[in-house]
Amino acid sequence: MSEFAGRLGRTFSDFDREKLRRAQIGLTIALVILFLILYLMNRDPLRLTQQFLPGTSMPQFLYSIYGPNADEMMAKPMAVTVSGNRVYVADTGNSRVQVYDYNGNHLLSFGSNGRSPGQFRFPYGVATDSDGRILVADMYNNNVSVFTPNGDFLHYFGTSLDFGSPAGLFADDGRIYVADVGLHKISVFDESGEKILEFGSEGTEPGQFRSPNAVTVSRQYVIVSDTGNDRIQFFNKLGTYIGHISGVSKNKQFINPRGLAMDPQGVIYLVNNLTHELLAMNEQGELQYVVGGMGQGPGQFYLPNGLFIDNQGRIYVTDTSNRRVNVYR
Amino acid sequence: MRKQTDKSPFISLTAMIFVLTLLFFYVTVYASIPAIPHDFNKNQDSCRNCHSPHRGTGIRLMTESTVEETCLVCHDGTRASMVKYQGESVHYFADENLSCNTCHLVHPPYNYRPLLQEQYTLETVDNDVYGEYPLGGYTQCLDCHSTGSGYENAADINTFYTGTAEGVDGGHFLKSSGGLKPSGWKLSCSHCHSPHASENAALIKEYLGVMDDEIINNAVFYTRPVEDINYKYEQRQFCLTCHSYGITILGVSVQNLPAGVENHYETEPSRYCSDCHSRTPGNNFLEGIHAPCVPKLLLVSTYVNDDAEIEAFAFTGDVTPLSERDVVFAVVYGSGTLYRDSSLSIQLTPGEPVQTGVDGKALVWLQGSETVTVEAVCEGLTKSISITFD
Repeated sequence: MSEFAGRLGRTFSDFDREKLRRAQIGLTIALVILFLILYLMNRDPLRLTQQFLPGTSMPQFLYSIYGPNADEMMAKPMAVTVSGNRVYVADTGNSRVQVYDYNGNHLLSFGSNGRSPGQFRFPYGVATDSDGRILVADMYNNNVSVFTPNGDFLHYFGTSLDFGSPAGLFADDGRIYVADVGLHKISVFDESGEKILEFGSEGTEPGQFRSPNAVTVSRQYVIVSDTGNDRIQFFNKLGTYIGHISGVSKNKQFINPRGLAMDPQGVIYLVNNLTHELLAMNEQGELQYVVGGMGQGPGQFYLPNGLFIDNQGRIYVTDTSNRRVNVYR
Repeated sequence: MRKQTDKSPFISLTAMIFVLTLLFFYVTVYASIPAIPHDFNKNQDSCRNCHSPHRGTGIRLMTESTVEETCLVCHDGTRASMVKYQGESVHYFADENLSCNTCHLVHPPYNYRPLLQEQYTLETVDNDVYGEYPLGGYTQCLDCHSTGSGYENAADINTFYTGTAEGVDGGHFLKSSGGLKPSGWKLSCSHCHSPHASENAALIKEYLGVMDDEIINNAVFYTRPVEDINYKYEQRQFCLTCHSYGITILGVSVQNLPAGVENHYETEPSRYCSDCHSRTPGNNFLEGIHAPCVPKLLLVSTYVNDDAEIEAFAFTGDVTPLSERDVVFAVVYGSGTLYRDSSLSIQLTPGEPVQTGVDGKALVWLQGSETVTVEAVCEGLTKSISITFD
């Protein structure tokens, strides 16, 4: 070894050793800094909020909504919606819907396990129509049930011809959008339960879906969380494909994307289930910020799923394995 | 004087390369790994999808109380590759302490799709109708569904395919090792059974030929609670769900009842389908639906004159060549004045005597092993015919 070093030393003796040493040190420092930057951009997702684009306002964690009491925890809350000053949560694991006031105080529950009208086996999407009625999609009973704001069952719509496994719901302008994870399509109904449109089929091509879990509607778009394809897709109100995003800048990949929403400023929020995060991005896929990270602490998530933004700008995220709903503003 | 060499440039260069290599692998390999839920060899953070070192309440620090509940946190049907776990008949058996990890491997190495403990033919996984696999390709199911498995509630299905040294030609069917290769098409366990849960008895699927949620044809399995399957009518209805006119399964027309005997089940109200279509004489419904046989039919007619004398024997039916694996039904008809005055006694050698019924027929079961003699006795008269199995 020393002989080899000696031979190498005789070779280097032909150069300015001092300059070489400085160059090596400088290069090493530069590369370490470069890799440190790469590391910070790609590091473990267990981190709290970050801001990437200056000027964007980040949501602040307000509080978490838990079950009615310490003995009645929610079990796998999959979706949430807000109607007036009430928060409706699909308490999926308990086959019921929990209702809270605007401060997170429990008001009532409705539903029970079963196949009879008004019962649930897997209540998933929740929405409210223009008359304030509460819609609940039941993925296992294969229908969408309609209730009064106090939880009185009115009727349900949908047959095995309409639905395979209705999941996400969104109501907008007299239309009810249903994301069907079994038939891999989006069905659109009027508020009387008549189907007026459907689009999508199973596949990976643009305009196709694999288990779309959520749908939301903005002024321009119908945006679908295409869970099985790990992307979100954009359509017009007639169901014509416009485009999609498979991941966002800053190397943030969609992994099991679930609930999504768009705020009035055009910011798209997406629940990234398997990274336990809430992503915020623009239509070009530029990441604005990341909220959450895996954990049980305030503002953290453990397999989040549902997402809703109310007309006051509050953001609700169902934190399924932590058995709660996180509220941001 | 020899000039002293300077080793420091070499050492610093080596150190720099070493550090850069470490950083390169860390950043590109570890830091950007997607959140793979199962394979911790690829993402060591995936452990926390199921285990929680600080808040785990279940066994082995799982996030939920049981293995099943932990799996169902994600495997709830909300993504296409997941399995709906619902139905009245379920494959998890709390009383035998079985759960998802009885059949599935949660941790790698993953040798068998889809994350199975044992081998299961890819024919079904890939929805390939015409795969041919030996019994060993169904180890995942037959390890439990066999005598001596220790699972008392698991019906012994393996026995229907291992009856002889050459195996059994199961018609419905698993190709046993060394057995005959039947023509037509082949079913495997999960073509008919839903391994996780089903609304039907015995985990029978609702629609035949369904993998995941895709309905390939519209044949609907007859559904009944399992205790009703003991009745002739229920068993017959079960078979006729598929073996009816116009049914196709996985693109193949189902074998209908033979021409000329299309409704023979209606003329034989006392019969179970498995009376004729299972190798075990008599009613063996389980054998008949898993390894049904298609027996050859031998019609033996006797002609009796007005003096009650047997004038002639005639037999119809192509029973040659016969092998020892064949099953032959000999249907012996009496004729002439037989119905009015007497009955015909059939003696098989080897075998037991059989009396014709009021309809003048006797149904006898012959299984090939040696020459069988059919002897008819009527009014003291005797006639016989020999059937030889090669």
